[in-house]
Amino acid sequence: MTNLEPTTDTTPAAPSDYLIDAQSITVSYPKDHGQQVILNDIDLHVSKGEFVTVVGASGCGKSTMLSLILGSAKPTSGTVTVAGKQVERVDRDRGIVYQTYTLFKHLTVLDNIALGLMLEQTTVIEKLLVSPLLLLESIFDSLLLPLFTAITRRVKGAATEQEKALAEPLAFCRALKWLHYFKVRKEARRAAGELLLDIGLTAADGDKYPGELSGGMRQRVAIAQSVIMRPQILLMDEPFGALDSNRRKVMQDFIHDQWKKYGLTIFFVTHDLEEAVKLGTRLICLSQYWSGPNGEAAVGAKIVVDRKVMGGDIMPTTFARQKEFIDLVDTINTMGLSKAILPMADFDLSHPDAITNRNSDHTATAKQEQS
Amino acid sequence: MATVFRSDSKISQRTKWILGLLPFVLLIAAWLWGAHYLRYIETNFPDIEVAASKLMPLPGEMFDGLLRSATPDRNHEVRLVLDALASMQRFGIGLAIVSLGVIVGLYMGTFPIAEALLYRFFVFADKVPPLLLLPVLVIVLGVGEESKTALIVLGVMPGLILEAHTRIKEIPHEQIFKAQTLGASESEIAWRILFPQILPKMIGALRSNFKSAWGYVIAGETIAALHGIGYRVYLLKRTASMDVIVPYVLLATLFMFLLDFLFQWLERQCPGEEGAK
Repeated sequence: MTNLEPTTDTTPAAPSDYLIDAQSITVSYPKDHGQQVILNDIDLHVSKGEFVTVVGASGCGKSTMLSLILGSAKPTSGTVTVAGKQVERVDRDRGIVYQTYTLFKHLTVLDNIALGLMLEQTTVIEKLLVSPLLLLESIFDSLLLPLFTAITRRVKGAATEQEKALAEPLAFCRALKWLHYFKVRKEARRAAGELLLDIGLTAADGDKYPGELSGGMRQRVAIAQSVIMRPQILLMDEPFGALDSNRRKVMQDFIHDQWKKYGLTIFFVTHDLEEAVKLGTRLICLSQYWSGPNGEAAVGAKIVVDRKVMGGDIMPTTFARQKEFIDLVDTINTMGLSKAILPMADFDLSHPDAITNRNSDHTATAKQEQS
Repeated sequence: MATVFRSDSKISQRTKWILGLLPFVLLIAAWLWGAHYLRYIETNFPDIEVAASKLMPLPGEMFDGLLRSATPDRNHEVRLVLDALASMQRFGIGLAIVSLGVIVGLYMGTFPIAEALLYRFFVFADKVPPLLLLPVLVIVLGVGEESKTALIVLGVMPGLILEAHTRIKEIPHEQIFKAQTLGASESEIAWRILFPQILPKMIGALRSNFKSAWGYVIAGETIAALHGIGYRVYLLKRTASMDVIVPYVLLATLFMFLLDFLFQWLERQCPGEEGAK
């Protein structure tokens, strides 16, 4: 694994430079005559090429945040833009990998990877040419021709001139359809075949169905399925959550290599802090925000940590400090933002000597944070 | 006895066959015993009126009855063939129309507007006892083929539509989001992602509806028909011709049995299913 140079430039990027730009995001839903707030006034900016890992306790809104970027959920207030375009719906410029359910069991591994390309190429050409022909063909083939044949044969006892006249355009439509289908399928499968080898599977695996693969192999295919589309951003929702620790490590290396190789921007949600620190170039920790005189009311999650980290290479000299950091974030996750100690200032894991003045920050309390 | 419940206890293929055939052998043996017993009573106790051959015909008598039905009559018609074909045709047409319900269920499960429009209606339609509709269908559509087909459709289709709808709903939303990120349109998601995944389950659902559909064919034929297994059996009931009725019942059962095997095979051929090539 390659040592990544930590980014030391702290100058904020201009709004147009952000790939993901979320402004004042709040997500809430009605509950028991009130509002259950999931995310509370969150700003998030992600630049191209970043590997952002998001951690936080269960139910704190990590996956909700991911859904907002994906377009499968909408914020109650605020806006989310990807590449300057407001997110309205799920679209092909964002790839997604879930913990499970991402492969289509009726398609072979190769067809699963090739599906996006096949759909992409089919959509454009079909709209212009093939769709009307297919429609004509199906009307001719399944409705008009049998009806026409049945009537004319009953009346005249033989094929008519009209029938013969229909046969030629029908054959033309069919030939075009199949030519197009085979051309698209062949090209998509060729590209998928190359990627298949790239993700460490064999050509023979390409003919298997997802049910015949191990969990790790399935996730490789699911990642390849998205990567082949060259999305602007790859969203990953606890993708290795179902894997054992050995496979998990292998897959962490795998996704890191893919990120580097294809220059991906990754938004990676996980509940494993070590994984987050190991993989990300930037770590975001979400935690429940408490309000009220004694900090008793939960009013949605906020970003409590947003720091650069090493990204894919844990150096022995910094490992101890990273462990400290992990312990700290763990405390925040367990106890909530305002009830935990908040020594977040100067906590920059991108540099081995950057952790300073921790003792003084340790004394900060919830009330101080709120004030 | 303890070994019977051991999860690792294996039954050989031969034992499986023997055990599988045993109930059939016992049934035939019981029938033969009953038939011979009735004949014994008929012969030895002339005071007791027992029409043994009418009540429980022997295999030879049933074979003769079947042969009579399979021999051209004075109109040069082979009744057995005509009856079997007529019933199978009704069943086939009915099932073909019923299977279109999968498409309705697919759209209901995929598009909220279709669901809002049709779901409650089909839940209601599914609860209507189909055989109570038979007189209504006969009045409205007449005694022809239409009323028989309509009976199968009304009896089976709502259930199949709801089954397809449920199966679509079971597919995780994540799959739909994934397909959308791959550029799939709504109709492509419906036809290329969802439909192939519910297809094996729908073949299974059709299989489990065979018996009801077959029952509706028979019920329809008892009202009015020129040919058909149900029509013939009800006709022969008047003369208590068990030597023909029993082979007809066996024929109808065998048809279902073979069709069930065919659909099981089809189910296994669906891509991605266990055992699929």
